Amino acid sequence: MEDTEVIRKEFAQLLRELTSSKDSIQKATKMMVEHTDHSEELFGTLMKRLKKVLKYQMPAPRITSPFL
Amino acid sequence: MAKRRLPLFYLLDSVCQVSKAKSQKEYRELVAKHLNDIVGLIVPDEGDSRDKAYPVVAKVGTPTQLRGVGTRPLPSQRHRCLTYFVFIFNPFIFLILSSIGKKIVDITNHGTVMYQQTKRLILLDSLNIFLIVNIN
Repeated sequence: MEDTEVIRKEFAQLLRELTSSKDSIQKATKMMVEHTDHSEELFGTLMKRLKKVLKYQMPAPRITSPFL
Repeated sequence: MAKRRLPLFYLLDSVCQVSKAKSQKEYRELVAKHLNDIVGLIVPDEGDSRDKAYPVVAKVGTPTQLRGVGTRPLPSQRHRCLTYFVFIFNPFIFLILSSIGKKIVDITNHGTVMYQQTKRLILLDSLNIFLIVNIN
Protein backbone atom coordinates (compact mmCIF):
# COMPACT_ATOMS: atom_id res chain seq x y z
CA MET A 1 0.00 0.00 0.00
CA GLU A 2 2.79 2.33 0.95
CA ASP A 3 4.61 1.29 -2.18
CA THR A 4 1.59 2.27 -4.26
CA GLU A 5 1.51 5.69 -2.65
CA VAL A 6 5.22 6.25 -3.33
CA ILE A 7 4.80 5.28 -6.97
CA ARG A 8 1.70 7.43 -7.32
CA LYS A 9 3.46 10.47 -5.86
CA GLU A 10 6.49 9.93 -8.05
CA PHE A 11 4.27 9.65 -11.09
CA ALA A 12 2.32 12.77 -10.12
CA GLN A 13 5.60 14.67 -9.94
CA LEU A 14 6.56 13.31 -13.34
CA LEU A 15 3.26 14.52 -14.77
CA ARG A 16 3.78 17.99 -13.37
CA GLU A 17 7.09 18.16 -15.19
CA LEU A 18 5.80 16.54 -18.36
CA THR A 19 6.54 18.29 -21.64
CA SER A 20 5.96 17.32 -25.26
CA SER A 21 9.57 16.26 -25.65
CA LYS A 22 10.26 12.69 -26.64
CA ASP A 23 12.39 12.04 -23.57
CA SER A 24 9.77 13.32 -21.21
CA ILE A 25 6.99 11.27 -22.79
CA GLN A 26 9.17 8.15 -22.92
CA LYS A 27 10.13 8.50 -19.28
CA ALA A 28 6.51 8.75 -18.16
CA THR A 29 5.47 5.95 -20.51
CA LYS A 30 8.18 3.71 -19.14
CA MET A 31 7.04 4.31 -15.62
CA MET A 32 3.42 3.52 -16.46
CA VAL A 33 4.24 0.40 -18.42
CA GLU A 34 6.62 -0.91 -15.77
CA HIS A 35 3.97 -0.58 -13.10
CA THR A 36 0.99 -2.21 -14.71
CA ASP A 37 0.12 -3.73 -11.33
CA HIS A 38 -0.64 -0.15 -10.25
CA SER A 39 -2.34 0.77 -13.51
CA GLU A 40 -5.57 1.95 -11.87
CA GLU A 41 -3.73 4.34 -9.55
CA LEU A 42 -1.43 5.69 -12.23
CA PHE A 43 -4.25 6.12 -14.72
CA GLY A 44 -6.33 7.83 -12.03
CA THR A 45 -3.45 10.20 -11.34
CA LEU A 46 -3.20 11.00 -15.04
CA MET A 47 -6.93 11.72 -15.26
CA LYS A 48 -6.72 13.97 -12.20
CA ARG A 49 -3.89 15.86 -13.82
CA LEU A 50 -5.89 16.28 -17.04
CA LYS A 51 -8.82 17.66 -15.07
CA LYS A 52 -6.57 20.02 -13.15
CA VAL A 53 -4.91 21.28 -16.31
CA LEU A 54 -8.29 21.92 -17.91
CA LYS A 55 -9.33 24.12 -14.98
CA TYR A 56 -6.16 26.18 -15.28
CA GLN A 57 -6.93 29.69 -16.41
CA MET A 58 -4.36 31.79 -18.18
CA PRO A 59 -3.65 34.95 -16.19
CA ALA A 60 -5.03 38.13 -17.70
CA PRO A 61 -2.40 40.11 -19.62
CA ARG A 62 -0.99 43.07 -17.77
CA ILE A 63 -1.72 46.38 -19.39
CA THR A 64 1.41 48.42 -19.36
CA SER A 65 0.54 51.17 -21.80
CA PRO A 66 1.32 54.65 -20.43
CA PHE A 67 -1.82 55.96 -22.16
CA LEU A 68 -4.15 53.96 -19.97
CA MET B 1 -3.57 25.59 -21.97
CA ALA B 2 -3.02 23.24 -24.86
CA LYS B 3 0.66 23.24 -24.06
CA ARG B 4 -0.17 21.71 -20.72
CA ARG B 5 -2.84 19.36 -21.93
CA LEU B 6 -1.39 17.91 -25.10
CA PRO B 7 1.67 16.31 -23.47
CA LEU B 8 -0.74 14.35 -21.31
CA PHE B 9 -2.48 13.15 -24.38
CA TYR B 10 0.81 12.25 -26.02
CA LEU B 11 1.52 10.21 -22.94
CA LEU B 12 -1.81 8.40 -23.23
CA ASP B 13 -1.11 7.70 -26.85
CA SER B 14 2.39 6.50 -26.10
CA VAL B 15 1.23 4.23 -23.29
CA CYS B 16 -1.42 2.70 -25.54
CA GLN B 17 1.11 2.08 -28.28
CA VAL B 18 3.67 0.50 -25.98
CA SER B 19 0.98 -1.56 -24.24
CA LYS B 20 -0.20 -2.80 -27.56
CA ALA B 21 3.30 -3.73 -28.63
CA LYS B 22 3.80 -5.61 -25.38
CA SER B 23 0.32 -7.16 -25.54
CA GLN B 24 -0.60 -5.56 -22.24
CA LYS B 25 -4.25 -4.73 -21.94
CA GLU B 26 -4.49 -2.81 -18.65
CA TYR B 27 -4.05 0.72 -19.94
CA ARG B 28 -5.85 0.13 -23.21
CA GLU B 29 -8.88 -1.08 -21.31
CA LEU B 30 -8.72 1.90 -18.98
CA VAL B 31 -8.43 4.31 -21.88
CA ALA B 32 -11.32 2.66 -23.72
CA LYS B 33 -13.41 2.75 -20.53
CA HIS B 34 -12.75 6.44 -19.91
CA LEU B 35 -12.58 7.53 -23.53
CA ASN B 36 -15.53 9.91 -23.32
CA ASP B 37 -14.02 11.63 -20.31
CA ILE B 38 -10.66 11.89 -22.04
CA VAL B 39 -12.22 13.33 -25.18
CA GLY B 40 -14.13 15.86 -23.09
CA LEU B 41 -10.99 16.87 -21.24
CA ILE B 42 -8.77 17.19 -24.26
CA VAL B 43 -11.31 18.80 -26.55
CA PRO B 44 -13.66 20.66 -24.21
CA ASP B 45 -17.17 21.64 -25.30
CA GLU B 46 -16.70 25.17 -24.07
CA GLY B 47 -13.97 27.65 -23.45
CA ASP B 48 -11.31 29.37 -25.44
CA SER B 49 -9.90 26.20 -26.84
CA ARG B 50 -13.20 25.00 -28.23
CA ASP B 51 -12.80 26.77 -31.51
CA LYS B 52 -9.24 25.77 -31.96
CA ALA B 53 -8.67 22.48 -33.55
CA TYR B 54 -7.40 19.76 -31.33
CA PRO B 55 -7.14 16.82 -33.60
CA VAL B 56 -6.15 13.95 -31.52
CA VAL B 57 -4.95 10.54 -32.39
CA ALA B 58 -4.86 7.54 -30.18
CA LYS B 59 -4.22 3.93 -30.66
CA VAL B 60 -6.43 2.06 -28.31
CA GLY B 61 -7.60 -1.45 -28.80
CA THR B 62 -9.41 -2.54 -31.87
CA PRO B 63 -12.06 -0.66 -33.83
CA THR B 64 -14.59 -3.17 -32.54
CA GLN B 65 -13.82 -2.13 -28.98
CA LEU B 66 -13.99 1.49 -29.90
CA ARG B 67 -17.25 1.30 -31.75
CA GLY B 68 -19.10 1.18 -28.47
CA VAL B 69 -17.52 4.38 -27.33
CA GLY B 70 -19.87 7.04 -28.66
CA THR B 71 -22.32 7.03 -25.81
CA ARG B 72 -23.39 10.62 -26.02
CA PRO B 73 -26.51 11.31 -28.06
CA LEU B 74 -25.82 12.21 -31.63
CA PRO B 75 -26.77 15.79 -32.47
CA SER B 76 -29.40 16.47 -35.05
CA GLN B 77 -27.16 19.04 -36.68
CA ARG B 78 -26.57 18.24 -40.31
CA HIS B 79 -23.11 17.40 -41.40
CA ARG B 80 -21.41 20.38 -42.83
CA CYS B 81 -18.14 20.94 -44.50
CA LEU B 82 -15.35 20.94 -42.04
CA THR B 83 -12.70 23.37 -41.43
CA TYR B 84 -10.12 21.54 -39.60
CA PHE B 85 -6.56 21.50 -38.75
CA VAL B 86 -5.02 18.17 -38.95
CA PHE B 87 -2.19 17.71 -36.65
CA ILE B 88 -1.51 14.11 -36.54
CA PHE B 89 1.22 11.76 -35.68
CA ASN B 90 0.47 9.36 -38.43
CA PRO B 91 1.32 10.62 -41.91
CA PHE B 92 -0.76 7.88 -43.47
CA ILE B 93 -3.92 9.25 -41.95
CA PHE B 94 -2.94 12.73 -42.98
CA LEU B 95 -2.60 11.41 -46.49
CA ILE B 96 -6.08 9.93 -46.36
CA LEU B 97 -7.60 13.14 -45.08
CA SER B 98 -5.76 15.20 -47.65
CA SER B 99 -6.85 12.99 -50.47
CA ILE B 100 -10.50 12.81 -49.55
CA GLY B 101 -11.16 16.48 -49.32
CA LYS B 102 -13.00 18.37 -46.68
CA LYS B 103 -16.41 16.81 -46.63
CA ILE B 104 -17.34 14.41 -43.94
CA VAL B 105 -19.39 12.39 -46.33
CA ASP B 106 -16.24 11.67 -48.28
CA ILE B 107 -14.61 10.30 -45.21
CA THR B 108 -17.48 7.95 -44.56
CA ASN B 109 -17.32 6.76 -48.14
CA HIS B 110 -13.82 5.60 -47.46
CA GLY B 111 -15.05 3.07 -44.98
CA THR B 112 -14.33 5.06 -41.90
CA VAL B 113 -16.63 4.63 -38.98
CA MET B 114 -17.73 7.98 -37.70
CA TYR B 115 -19.30 9.35 -34.61
CA GLN B 116 -20.31 12.92 -34.35
CA GLN B 117 -20.37 14.30 -30.90
CA THR B 118 -21.46 17.81 -30.06
CA LYS B 119 -18.89 19.66 -32.07
CA ARG B 120 -16.39 16.99 -32.63
CA LEU B 121 -15.93 14.11 -34.88
CA ILE B 122 -14.40 10.88 -33.99
CA LEU B 123 -13.23 8.91 -36.91
CA LEU B 124 -12.26 5.36 -36.55
CA ASP B 125 -10.27 3.77 -39.23
CA SER B 126 -9.05 0.36 -40.03
CA LEU B 127 -5.66 1.07 -38.51
CA ASN B 128 -7.05 1.13 -34.98
CA ILE B 129 -6.61 4.83 -34.91
CA PHE B 130 -9.23 7.35 -34.14
CA LEU B 131 -8.93 11.02 -34.44
CA ILE B 132 -10.97 13.88 -33.25
CA VAL B 133 -11.42 17.04 -35.19
CA ASN B 134 -13.41 20.09 -34.34
CA ILE B 135 -15.95 21.14 -36.91
CA ASN B 136 -17.64 24.44 -37.53
